[in-house]
Amino acid sequence: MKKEIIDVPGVSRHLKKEGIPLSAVVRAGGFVFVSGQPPMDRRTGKIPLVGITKQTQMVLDNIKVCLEAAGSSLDKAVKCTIYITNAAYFDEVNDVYRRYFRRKPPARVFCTVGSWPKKFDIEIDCIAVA
Amino acid sequence: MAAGYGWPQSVAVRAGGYLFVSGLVAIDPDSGERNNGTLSSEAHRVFQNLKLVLESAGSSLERLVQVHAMIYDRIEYDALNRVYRQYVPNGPPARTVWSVQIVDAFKVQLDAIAVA
Amino acid sequence: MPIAREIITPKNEMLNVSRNLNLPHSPGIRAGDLIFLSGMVSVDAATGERSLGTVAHETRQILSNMAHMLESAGSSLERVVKINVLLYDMLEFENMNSVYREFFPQDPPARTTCGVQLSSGLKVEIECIALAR
Repeated sequence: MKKEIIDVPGVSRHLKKEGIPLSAVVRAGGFVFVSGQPPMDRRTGKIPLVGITKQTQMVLDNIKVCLEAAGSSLDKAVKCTIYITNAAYFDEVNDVYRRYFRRKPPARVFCTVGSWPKKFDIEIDCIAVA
Repeated sequence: MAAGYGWPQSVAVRAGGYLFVSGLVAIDPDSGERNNGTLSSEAHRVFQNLKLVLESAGSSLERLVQVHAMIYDRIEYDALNRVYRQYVPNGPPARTVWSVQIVDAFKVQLDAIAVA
Repeated sequence: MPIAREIITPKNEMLNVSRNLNLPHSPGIRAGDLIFLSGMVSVDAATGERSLGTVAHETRQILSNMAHMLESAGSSLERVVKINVLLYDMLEFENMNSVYREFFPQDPPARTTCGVQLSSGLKVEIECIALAR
């Protein structure tokens, strides 16, 4: 069995520059595993101070780019976990999320966690069929 | 079961020989009503829901491989375990307990991966 | 034909925390091409006691034990594909990373880290999915 590290344009190089010891995407065993994605601007590598709707959109755009870099896609996602700092954002997140998974959405978990050491409120990770 | 509680999610997805189950909470599968209660009462309801989901997809509690058991407060860890062991008495799945807040003031949420 | 499901246990029985503390989970499950390990906390491999300390200490202890657990099942840290790190306070993120890097010097797995409440004064818990072979 092989484990492949996928280089994701606009994501992997920022992780490397920041020295964060994770791969954005790993393909193995017929699946693609995407690391928790923060609302990072893929062009600058920075996390802008924006509202939860925009953050969710940025995170899901990043997930999409990650999956596609591995030859997968949002349609092939089987499970997403949403990590959020405030459960009250549930509806705002769903409104955006729905637009990315219109038909047959993946299994999903939503949970509220402690805040990250940077100014953002949401991360999403994902398992998809390769 | 009410498909994904009306949230943008599927209750379970089968892929590559596995079944990926969404986070389940204590919702009555027939009426869709929330069964908020004690940690124990909710855990029983969630496990019954999980059993229903797995069996509807041709799997079972015995075929669970990984569970994330989310509870609202670490202090209820033992209360969770007392219910938990009744449903997976032999060869239980790999598990991690996450103490996190859960939507709608639920006290337990289980997400799971099983062999299909 | 469903894929086979098999329980994984560490060769060092001191690290079989779920059995030693009578908890309702298995140390790990192998199913098909993948291994799923339960969340691991810092445990002294010689005594089986919880080994509380700094985030760096606990991270090192957990990842050493995780290597043992995976090797007991014929896998290894190099074959880990996804990790979840649960941290009692995300302000300690870099303290966890500094040790984590030593264990995954190249091609690290996909990973998500989140801040949660842990029990017994523990600061770190780590779970993983790995390729079985």
